[in-house]
Amino acid sequence: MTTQSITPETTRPAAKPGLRLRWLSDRLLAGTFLAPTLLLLLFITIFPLIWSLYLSFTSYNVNSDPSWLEAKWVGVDNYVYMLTTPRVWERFIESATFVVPTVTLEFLLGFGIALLFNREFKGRGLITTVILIPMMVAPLVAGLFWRFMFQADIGIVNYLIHDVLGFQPVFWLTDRTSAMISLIIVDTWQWTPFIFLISLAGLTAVPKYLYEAADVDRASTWFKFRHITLPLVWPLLLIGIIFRLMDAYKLFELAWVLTSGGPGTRVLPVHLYKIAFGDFATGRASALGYIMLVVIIALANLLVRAINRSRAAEV
Amino acid sequence: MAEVRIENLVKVFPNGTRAVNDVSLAAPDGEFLVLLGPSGCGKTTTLRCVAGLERQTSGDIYIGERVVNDLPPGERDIAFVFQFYALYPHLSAYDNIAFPLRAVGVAADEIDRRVMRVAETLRIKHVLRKRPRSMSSGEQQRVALGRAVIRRPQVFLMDEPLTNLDAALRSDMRVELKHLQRELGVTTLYVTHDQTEAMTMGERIAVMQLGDLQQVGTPLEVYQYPATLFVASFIGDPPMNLIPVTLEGDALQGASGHLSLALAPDVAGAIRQKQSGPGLVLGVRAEDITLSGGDEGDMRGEVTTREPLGDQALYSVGLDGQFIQITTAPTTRFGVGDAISLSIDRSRMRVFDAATERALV
Repeated sequence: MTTQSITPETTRPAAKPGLRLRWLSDRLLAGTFLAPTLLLLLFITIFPLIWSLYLSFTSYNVNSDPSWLEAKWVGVDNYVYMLTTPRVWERFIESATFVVPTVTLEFLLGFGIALLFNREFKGRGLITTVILIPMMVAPLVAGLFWRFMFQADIGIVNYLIHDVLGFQPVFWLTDRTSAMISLIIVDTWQWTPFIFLISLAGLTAVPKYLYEAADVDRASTWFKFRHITLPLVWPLLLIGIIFRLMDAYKLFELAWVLTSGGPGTRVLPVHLYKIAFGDFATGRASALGYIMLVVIIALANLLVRAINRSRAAEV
Repeated sequence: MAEVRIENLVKVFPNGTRAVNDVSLAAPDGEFLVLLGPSGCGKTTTLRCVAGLERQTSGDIYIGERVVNDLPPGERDIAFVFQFYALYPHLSAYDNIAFPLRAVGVAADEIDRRVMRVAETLRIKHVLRKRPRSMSSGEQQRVALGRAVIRRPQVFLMDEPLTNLDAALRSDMRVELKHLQRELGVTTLYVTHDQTEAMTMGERIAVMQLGDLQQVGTPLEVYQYPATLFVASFIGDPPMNLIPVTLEGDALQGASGHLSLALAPDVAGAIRQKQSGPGLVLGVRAEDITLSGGDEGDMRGEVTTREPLGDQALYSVGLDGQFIQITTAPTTRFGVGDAISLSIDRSRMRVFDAATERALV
């Protein structure tokens, strides 16, 4: 035993004493390297978060109040106001009118296309890349060129509808209903590829031999889909849906570029922007921001629980 | 239950690989037939063609009296046990076993009764609620078997089902699997690369290499009378000694005169008639050679190594640059370097044509 323990120590080169700073522990060194990033993070995310939380309890107005230090503390007034104003509820409903159909459509289309792509065929890689292009375009840019296409009198969409097919032209961006439909179309166009990509990843991860086993076991196509494909892909799909839900819920650029938050498309983030930088009611805007945050955290939590349930079922 | 018959099966993959080359094979009703060969020999492809998981390029497959060429796997009335079990990872053992019944809409109470009976037979009642991930490989193996037997199919197709088990469990499962198959009386095609499995389990063994069927026979036939040089070198441990020889007069002669084996005139005649060229290969098992100290044997050589194995001793003797292996009783006491002579049991030797690699006598 003793001879064994001596050998490794004698072969190890002796540490040079002067080179090591005794007070500089590994932990401290790690902290030193992390500090700049942490400070930056603290400054650009944590600080505004806390500051806006404070502001949401004041009547601060960034335009007229000289300093936020003098802003009047109003307690939960801003929250009460936001939650009792019918207009805010209308915005919530408008946001839901956008989010629910959009994410549903993106899910159905994305998963559907992924199912079609889950086999070998010529040009599969190329077409997959092409399908992913919308996702790579900046939302602002996408909004801009869709706005041109949706132009009532010079846009290509109405040209096709009216001049080619002979139907009545549609006032895409100015009519309440069709403005929302435009918004849904553009967001679906841009983000269906995301669900498609996630679905395809999930589908290709299902081992082929499971389907072979099911074939031997006389399972029908539907039975295989229902009892093998769906349960195995579902957790990944839920993650994709969470991402899309959160993203659609805080959609701003597209609505702003397409209609500037015009009739029918004044979704919550646009509304928030108008309170914050139109009315300069900073306190109220902060309160609304926090209400939105709580709602999305609650929603995301429900879905994360659903994922954990389906994960737990696998163990 | 049914007979499985394969006629002139050819499978060429799209990339040009000829995996199965004109294989004809039949397993009578209730037989346990083992497809044996090294990896890449086409045994698994053959099995997958029978299952309908692969479509053959040409040839016919019969299950019972039916040609099943164009039937999907589900309509062939077979069960397939995969090498990696292919259990459904999100389903419990119970649901895995019940899957084939649920897929065709069997009533729930009937399913329950049958799953319980199968679980009893396979002694896996305690894991029924577990998912594959939390089962040992032996338990997964049994669940996979359970899923295969629950339907009472006409044919079992098994693709190296014991390969992923550790050695002790494997030898247990060999016995159990064999017993289960005999009890159910279901025709079984069993693919393996492990000759011990093939020898112990198979009623007959079909040896394949590079897509060709080399020989079909009982384990003893394949061992004692290999039809080709490949079978001779693949089956048995140690493998058959294969010594290049030529026929001169009525005797087989080794390259350097150390080997001279006189044959009966009719045997020599038969070889002469069948051989395609002068090159021959003498095949003889290690236990069919006897050693002696004298000068009267068929070969002379020098002991290179001696390995006492307990129940027997394994000698290596150098001869014309190759080593001849001989097993003898453990009591023989030749030492390394001793000059010895070897006598070959003429009733148990094989002579192959070196060019065609087929056995002549």
